[in-house]
Amino acid sequence: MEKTYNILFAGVGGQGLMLLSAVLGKAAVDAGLDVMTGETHGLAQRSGSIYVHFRIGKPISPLIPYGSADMLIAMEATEALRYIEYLKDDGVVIMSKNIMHPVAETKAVALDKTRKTKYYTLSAVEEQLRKVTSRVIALDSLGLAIQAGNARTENSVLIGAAAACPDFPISSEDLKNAVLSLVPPKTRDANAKAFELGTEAGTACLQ
Amino acid sequence: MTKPKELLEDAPGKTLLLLANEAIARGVLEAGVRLVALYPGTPSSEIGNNLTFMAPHIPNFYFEFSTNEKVALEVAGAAAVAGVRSMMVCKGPGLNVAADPFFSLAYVGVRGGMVIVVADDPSMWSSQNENDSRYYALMGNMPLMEPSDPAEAKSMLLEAYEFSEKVELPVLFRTTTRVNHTRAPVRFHEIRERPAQVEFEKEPYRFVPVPSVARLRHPWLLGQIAKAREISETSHLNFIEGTGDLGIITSGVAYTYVVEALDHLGMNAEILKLGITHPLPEQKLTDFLRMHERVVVVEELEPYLETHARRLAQLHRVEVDILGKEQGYFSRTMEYSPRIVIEALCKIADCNTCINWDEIDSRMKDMADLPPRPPLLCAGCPHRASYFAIRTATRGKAIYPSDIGCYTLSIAPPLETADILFDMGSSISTACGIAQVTGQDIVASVGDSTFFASVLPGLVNAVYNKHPVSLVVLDNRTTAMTGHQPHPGTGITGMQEQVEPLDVEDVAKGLGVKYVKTINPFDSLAGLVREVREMVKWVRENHEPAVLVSKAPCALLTAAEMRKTGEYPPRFYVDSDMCTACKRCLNRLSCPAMYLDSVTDKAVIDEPLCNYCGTCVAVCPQGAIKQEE
Repeated sequence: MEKTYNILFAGVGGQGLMLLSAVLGKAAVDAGLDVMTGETHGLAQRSGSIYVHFRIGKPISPLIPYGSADMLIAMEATEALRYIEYLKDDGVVIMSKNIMHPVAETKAVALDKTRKTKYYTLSAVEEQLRKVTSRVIALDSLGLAIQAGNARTENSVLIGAAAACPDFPISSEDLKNAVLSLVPPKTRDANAKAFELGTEAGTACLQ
Repeated sequence: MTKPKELLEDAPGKTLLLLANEAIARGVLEAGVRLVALYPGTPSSEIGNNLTFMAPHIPNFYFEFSTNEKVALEVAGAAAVAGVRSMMVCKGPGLNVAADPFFSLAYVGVRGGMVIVVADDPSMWSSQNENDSRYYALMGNMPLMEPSDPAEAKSMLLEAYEFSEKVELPVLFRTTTRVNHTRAPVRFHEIRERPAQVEFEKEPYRFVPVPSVARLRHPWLLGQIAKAREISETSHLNFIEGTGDLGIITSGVAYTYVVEALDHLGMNAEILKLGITHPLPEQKLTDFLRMHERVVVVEELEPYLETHARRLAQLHRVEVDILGKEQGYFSRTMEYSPRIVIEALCKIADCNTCINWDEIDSRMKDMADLPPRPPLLCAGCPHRASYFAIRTATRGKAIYPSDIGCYTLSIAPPLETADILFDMGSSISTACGIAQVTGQDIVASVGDSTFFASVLPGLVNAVYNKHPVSLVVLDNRTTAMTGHQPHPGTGITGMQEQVEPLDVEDVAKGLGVKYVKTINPFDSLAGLVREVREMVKWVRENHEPAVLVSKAPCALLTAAEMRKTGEYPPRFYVDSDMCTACKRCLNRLSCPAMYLDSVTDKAVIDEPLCNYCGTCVAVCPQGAIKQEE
């Protein structure tokens, strides 16, 4: 690989971001690619916003420079926006349509007796993203995971969608093998199905 | 996500993707370290989290979670004095706790190699300050090393032990959060054997620094540092790379940003990368300054290298422009990033980058209305019930000294029960100070691990000097914030052995506290409010300290247990027919598992996020929150 491929993972503490990053890390190392990640650990695990900088190819530092992420994978829709400064122009966004409202937002909405304060919506997220890129893959990851037979396979849906991107540096097969080797054995079939559903949905979005 | 088992493998040549913290845990094996003692502290936590599960499988190895950092440094320091290789690990503020033995240890020195890993936290991701621990090396005359990435964290650690043994001094091994939590490929090397036992050879006129001994040890120490400087002069850990008119001096993770920035800008520069930052290779550094008209110093936090560079330039009359924090090219606060270094180098070299910062900054301005998502107490956290009760019982009017742990998050609305905090253990002692100069009720709070780590002397102080303060010990049966390490109240050791746990209530009674009670915060919220009120009243009447232990396991432990067994209690739900949309539950608890249904304007419990604590049931005035039968 001549060039470094940069992925920014974003999500909420507890969503399994670290496992997702570990899966991709294994896939990259198994494919003989060099990897470096910059992760959030500790305090931010308590329902806070978290990220992983994931760099494949010839990574030099653990952090992606602003405007240089080829792909942004968000496990929660508003978290895609929170790290938008990292995305390069027309980079790919793969995100769950799921929105988890932060407690502070709920409180603001609940305290507004005029009912003018509203929750952030998916369409507002998509509108903002479109200012930077036209390549947005928004997935009903939970729906697809349930369709695959296990609600806890959302991350495999997202990884499957990444495989749908033509310039993604790891082959779909290597990716899938890494997923299946790291998930609990009894969930392997559901994860395989979730991965495929993610790839299908991703391909459809990019067309 | 590397398992401790993988770190144990005797497989030289094997390459694994590791966090620097995991690489250091592996390095313990390869360096033949006999004993590691630490008190957990993020960003260094994963070192202990791995070692505790590796320890039972390593022959002739001892690992402990000590009660605090001072204890850990004394345990590890003594082992190295006895003649084996040892390690102590802490976060930046942890070294402050261990400062007392730190300075003595340098005076007496060690016989076996010793490394003190200190993890600083630029940007204060999980710390109360971002002080730069490198000054400890300078002040205490201890050699200092700074790795830049996971592979170097392990290879440099092995060299640190060699270095330590050559100069008979512990080596301060300083990382930063970004290094600790970077994951990259790390290659395994041979595992080194450890001795089963050594004989402690007495040498009191070295190891007991009474004044007459210490007066001899100080010149000895300075002599050892002079020896260490010679090693630093020729060490490959201090190397020069690249060519160019511009010189750059850097260390730690900042080195990687410098290389990234030069690559991005297509700029040439000669880099002096320093791995040993005390004692500095003064000759090498001075020669480097002589070779350039302009030298940029890139280092996070304080101008440590920069000040040394200026000192050497003045001492040796070198004509050179040293550019760094003094002229405002770099900041003394917060962690750096490729952008910060790219922008500074652009300014210094008067060149441009293809990145349009203005456009990127305007993107971020567009996001100004995105609701923030700070960390907060988990759904099902027992502290939420405890703080709700403390606040309700005292009508928000008492003073609430806090302490260090997850519970400091109670600073946020609506709980707002953190008014003052200095350091580990300050809850009880700050309460005493406030009690003496105000007439207000004081309800301090502290977690179980911090109670054993640092509260005991303060509690004795409160008893003996009769300070009228209430202390709630939030006993969640673990050291939660740093990733669930055991402590003396849990009954598990660092070696994963079962032992008799210490009980907070017994300890408080043993220290002479007359009013001590234990309660489960989930039994009855109203009961908990009553208990807090009663305690505060007792303190007011009796003018001495009281302790209430609020005891229930961390929600994450409970949730993990439920996932393991597959047994879940009946679910909680909001009966929308009874809910009047008063929103009291949302406003008073701020539970992450509850939100507002935008259509009905009523509260909803998000089932997958709920951890079944039931605290919300008691908060609802309508009785609309119910548990299925």
